[in-house]
Order: sequence, then structure tokens, then C-alpha cells
Amino acid sequence: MSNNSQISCTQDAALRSDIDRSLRHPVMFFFTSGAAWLALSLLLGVIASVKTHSPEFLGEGSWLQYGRTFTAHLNLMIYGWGAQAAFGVVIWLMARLSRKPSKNAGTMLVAGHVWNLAVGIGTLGILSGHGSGKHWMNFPTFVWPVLLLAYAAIAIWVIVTFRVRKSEDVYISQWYVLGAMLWFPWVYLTANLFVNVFDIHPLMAAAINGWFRHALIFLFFTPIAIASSYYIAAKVTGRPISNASYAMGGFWALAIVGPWAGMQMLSGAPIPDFLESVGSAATILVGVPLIIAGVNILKTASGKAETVAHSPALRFSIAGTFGMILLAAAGVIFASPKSLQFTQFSLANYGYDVLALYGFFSMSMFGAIYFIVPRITRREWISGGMIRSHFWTSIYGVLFIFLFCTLLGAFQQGSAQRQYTEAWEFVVQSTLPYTIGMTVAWCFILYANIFFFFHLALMWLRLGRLSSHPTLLTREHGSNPHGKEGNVEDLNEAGA
Amino acid sequence: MSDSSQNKPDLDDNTNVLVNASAVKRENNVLKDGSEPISLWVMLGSALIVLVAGGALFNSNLFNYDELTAASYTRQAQPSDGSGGVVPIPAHKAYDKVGAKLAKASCLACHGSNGEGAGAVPPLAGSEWVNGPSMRTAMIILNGLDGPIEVAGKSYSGNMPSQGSGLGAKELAGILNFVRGNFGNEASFITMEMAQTAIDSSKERNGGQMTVSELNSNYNVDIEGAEFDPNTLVDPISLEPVEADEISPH
Repeated sequence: MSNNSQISCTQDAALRSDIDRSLRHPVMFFFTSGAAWLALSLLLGVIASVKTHSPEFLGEGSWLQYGRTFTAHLNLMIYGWGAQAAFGVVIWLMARLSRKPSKNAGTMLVAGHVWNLAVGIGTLGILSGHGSGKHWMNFPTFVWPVLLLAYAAIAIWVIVTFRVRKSEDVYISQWYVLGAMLWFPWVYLTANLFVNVFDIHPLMAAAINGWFRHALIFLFFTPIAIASSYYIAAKVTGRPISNASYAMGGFWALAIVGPWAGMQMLSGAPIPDFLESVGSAATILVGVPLIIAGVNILKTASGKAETVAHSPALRFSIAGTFGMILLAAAGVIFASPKSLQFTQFSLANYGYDVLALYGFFSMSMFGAIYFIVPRITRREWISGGMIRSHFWTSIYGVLFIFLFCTLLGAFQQGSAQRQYTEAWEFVVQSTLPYTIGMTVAWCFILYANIFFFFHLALMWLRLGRLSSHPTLLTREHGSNPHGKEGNVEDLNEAGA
Repeated sequence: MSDSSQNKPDLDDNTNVLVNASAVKRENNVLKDGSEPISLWVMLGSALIVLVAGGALFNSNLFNYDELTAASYTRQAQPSDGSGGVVPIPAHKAYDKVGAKLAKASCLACHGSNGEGAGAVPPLAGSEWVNGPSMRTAMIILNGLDGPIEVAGKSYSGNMPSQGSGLGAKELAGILNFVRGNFGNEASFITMEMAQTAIDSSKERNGGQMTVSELNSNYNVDIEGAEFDPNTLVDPISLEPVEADEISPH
């Protein structure tokens, strides 16, 4: 009996290892290039943030003015880092959960290169002044079909992997991943067609642009982050999802509510009123599926405080889950019509983006990356200290941006804007502490992610620790649950 | 996947897959689904969120297409001097604004929206009773008018009720300047002091509507008062002239 289970355990490990090997090139490519774009995006974000309070910074060259650096920063965060981290996690997660090694790593790798090329050209386009000027789709307009094609070449294999899955059970993460894979082309194609191709009323184009931003958050980044956190929480703690049927309810709630959000961005504009109020209500209501997933993940990991503290993957995923719950609260605060009057044209939108993209999505992706990379490179993370500082500087940075700059700053800026008898300088002055605070916070996050990129790049070069021990975020070595540490090759020889 | 392939070293490795894949070997399995009870926090949080969302949805115009923008997004712009105070404007504009509001309700309903008159109601435009001596105009407004009257070459049998109730100096001056300065009329400017003089002399009467003969015998004069340049800058609310040094530089 014990022999049997040992064999199946070995077979299991062999299959996992097979899957990891089959996907190591695209996954590492997505992660590492994503992290590089993230570092660049944050550098541009720091520049843009400094420009808001010290416009003379870096002189008067048009390439580094606020209008270009800010949009390049945000779009790199979305398409350079966010989408690529999502691709890496999704292809690996789907293969693992479907128990199928991938046969199409090459195609995905090529598509990944196309995606990166398009992102690079798009960023140069923005910085050289050829951006489209449309929020969240600022790349020059010829870029979006290329991105969509590259996406299709990646996502199709995720869906195929699911189709040929070996296991009968469909895990909750697979639902979320499948949802995201199918929603993205719908959202992306619809929005880009209406905004960039069809000749529709510009007001409606702006409203659709607002919808695009929210749909991308709620129907792409959110489900992938939730999928990853459900998996990591269950995997690392070795416990089942706290309540699985409830988790399914959360998925369907997100699927039903998510697509309605976004048009409250144009509140007060002469578009049909129900578009705005439905957008407001949906952005608030998305909090329900977020809280369902968030509490479910937290309860899965509850009572395992030590594991949460020690495992980098779980620690980041749980932090991302708290970010998700904070995002639910942020939706309630910022999307209700009463506060929209204040926050509509303030820091609130950017703060919400930062919380969704970094505080929630990116933290979950970091968790997944810290889990996946040691498996596909078969090396352990080099430095626990580096991971720890990545974690804490990220947390401090994003919390400072959201709790201080966004919550306080948005309302102060909004109420200053409403004093329309005052000169605009009054608004700038009253927002000054928050913009300076934002610069400081971005510097923290930039610092964190430059080291994250180097750490990841070293892992990609297979310079990770060749150890039987995972890199845990603990300082003492005696209490390691994985036994005596040693070089795996030495242990192997000793065992043989 | 045969046994032999597992035991062979990988292409770019010199060791067996399973040997140094320690991360893979120590992994937990993903367990079958749990079914712990639903957390109270989810219930409370969701209820709160649904409540707020319902408020956002149903406190709006929804499918009312007549209102283009929500009420809270429209605002009457006020002139400003940049420091929160109001910008002074020329007197004739300020008085005109005050008068236009009142005249619309009190005068133009009968005398026509352009002061052209209507049927039995004589016109304001080009009327000698409006453009002539200002005391006559003021007394008609304050007391009304009864009996036959000739206006702009046509005879009317007037019965105009008094419009004087609630009129202060500011309002009367506003109305006078409005009717005497619009519809092609170009009569002299009436200050608030002048309007007060007219109100005072109206009070000395014993009430009742004016007649043409009384107007011509007692009130056929311009209201007495100091000369006033209609272009003087005044506060748009109080209509008081603003001293030059009170105006902040721009």
C-alpha cells in the first residue's frame, strides 16, 4: 500500500516535472520580460510623478514630459508587465491543473516575442508623441491588432490544454483562467473597434473607453489573480479551498456583474443616465465576488500563519488578496455617485488603477512567480532577503499610494477643484503633499522591482541555488520543515 | 512518457529530472474541494455592498432622457475676481440684471416680452410715459394707473394694478432702468437714491391708482438725485459702487 502510494507520488512528481519542463521557456520569457517592463514602467512612473510637482525636472525635452511618461508608464504596467505576467501564470497553471504537458511552447514563445516587440514599438510611439491619447489604449493605433493576434496565439493553447485535460475535476482556478482567456478578446476587440475603428459619437467612445478600463481590470486581471491565489493558497498550505461551491458562486457573480462596470467615468456627461448609474452600481457590486474570493482564500490559509510568513509565494498571494478586499472597498468609496462628484477628475482614478494593478494583481502574480520559477528552473531563489525587501517595499509603497495619496488626496483635490472661483494653482497647491508622497512611494516600488528583475534574471540564467531547500522567508535555519539542507546532487549520490 | 525517458538526463542537464526537481517533489497535492460554512464577514460585507450599489442605481434618473445631466453637475457660474469675491461690473449691467428678473414677472407678462404691448395694454417701447420724466414712470409702477391714456399716438383705457408692493429702492431702480434702457428706449439712468425719493413721494399720497391728470399735474418731473455715470463699477449683488482700490489687480 505504502509502496503503491509512493509510486503514484513519484509518477505525480514526474508528471509535474514534465509539465514544468515543457513550459519553462515561454513561462520564463514572459516573467522576465514582464519584470523588465515593470521596472521600466516604474522608472517612467517616478519621472511622471516628479513632473506633477516639479515640472522643470529633466528639462524641457518633449520625450520625458508628463503627458508621455505617464501614459507610457501606465500602458507598460498593463501590457508590458501585467498581461505578460498573466500569460506566464496562466499557461503554467492551466497545464498543471489539466495535468497535460504543453506541446506548443514554441508557438507561445514566438507569440511572446511578437507581443514584446509590439509593446516596445508602442512605448516608443508614446514617448515620441504618437500615442493615441486614449486612456489605457495609448499605444499608436496600429499596435492593438498585433497585440490581439499575439494574444490569440497564446490563449488558444490555454483553452486547448483545458480541452484535453486528463483529470475529471475542474478546479476553481481553471474556471477563472478560462473566463479570463475568453473575456479578454471580447473586451479588447469590442473596445478597440468602437474607439479606434467605428465612427461613433466621441462621447460614447469616451464612455466605452471607461468601460474598457474597468472590464480589463474585472474580467482579465482580477480573474487571473484570483485563479493564482486560489491555487497558491491551497497548494502551499496543503488544504482544500475553504468552500468550493461558494468559490464557484463568486466566479459567476464576477461574470455577471463585471461587464457592466465602467461608464460611471463619464458621470455628468450628456450620455444616457442609466449608463452612468449602472456603471456605478456594477463597480460597487463587483465588491461582492471580490470579497467572496478574498475571504475564501484567506480562510483557506487561516491558521497557517507560519506558512504565510515563511513562504514567499503564499505571503505575496495573501497580500494580493488583502489588496483585492481593499479594491472592493475602494469601489464602494469611489464609484458611488456622491463621491464621484469629487473624485471624478482627481487622483482617485489613478490610485484605483494602482491598487488594482499593483496592490492586487501584481502582488498575486509575484506570489505565483515565486512559486513557479523554482519549479521550472529547478533552482531555488538566491536570496530570501531580496524577496523580503521586495515584499515590504512593495507593501509600504502601494499602501502609502492608496491609503494616503488616493483616499485623502482625491477628496482634497476634488473639493479644491469644486471651488471654481479659485485659480487652478490653488488645486495644485492643495494636492502638492500627495503628489510628492506618490513620488516617494513610487521610488520604493521601483527599488523593489529593480531588484526583483535582477533576481528573476539570475534565476533565468539558472544561477539559482542548487539546493534541496526552498528559499523561505525565515532567518533561523534549524526549524526548516524540509529537513537537512544540502546540494541535491550530493544527496542523490549519498542516497544511491 | 516511458520509464526510460524519466531516467535519462535532460537535454541541457547532466542530472536526472526527478533528482534535482526537489521543488516538484516536496509539493502538496491540490486537495478535493472543501465545504466550510460561509463566513459572516462575507455576508455582512456583501449586504453592505449591495445596499450601496442599490442606492447608486436607483437614486438616479435611469431611463429619463429629458435630463441631459444629473442635477448635481449643473451650476450657475458666478463671476469671480480670483480670490473668492465677486467681480464688480458696470452699473447699467448690474441694474439691468436686477430689473430684468423682476420685469419678466411683473411687466412683460402684460406689456409683451419685447415691451411691444398687446391689445388693450399699451407698449413700453417708445412710450413717452416710460422715456419721459422719470417720476411719472416711477409713480405708474408704484401705484398703477386708471382711466384713459394716450401712448405713442394711440388711445388706451388703462387699468393697471399697482406693482409697488415689495419693491425696495434697489428693485424699483432695477425695473426703471430695465424698461427705460431696453426695447429701444434710451432714457436717463436712475440710481437707488432716486428710486428711494420716488418711493418716499409715493408714500405721501393716499394710495389708489394714478390718473393721467394727476401724473401730469404733480409728477411731471425727473426724479431729483445726483448725477451718476452708468458705467461706474458696482457690486452685482448690492449694486453699491465699488471703490477703485477695492478692486484687486489681475
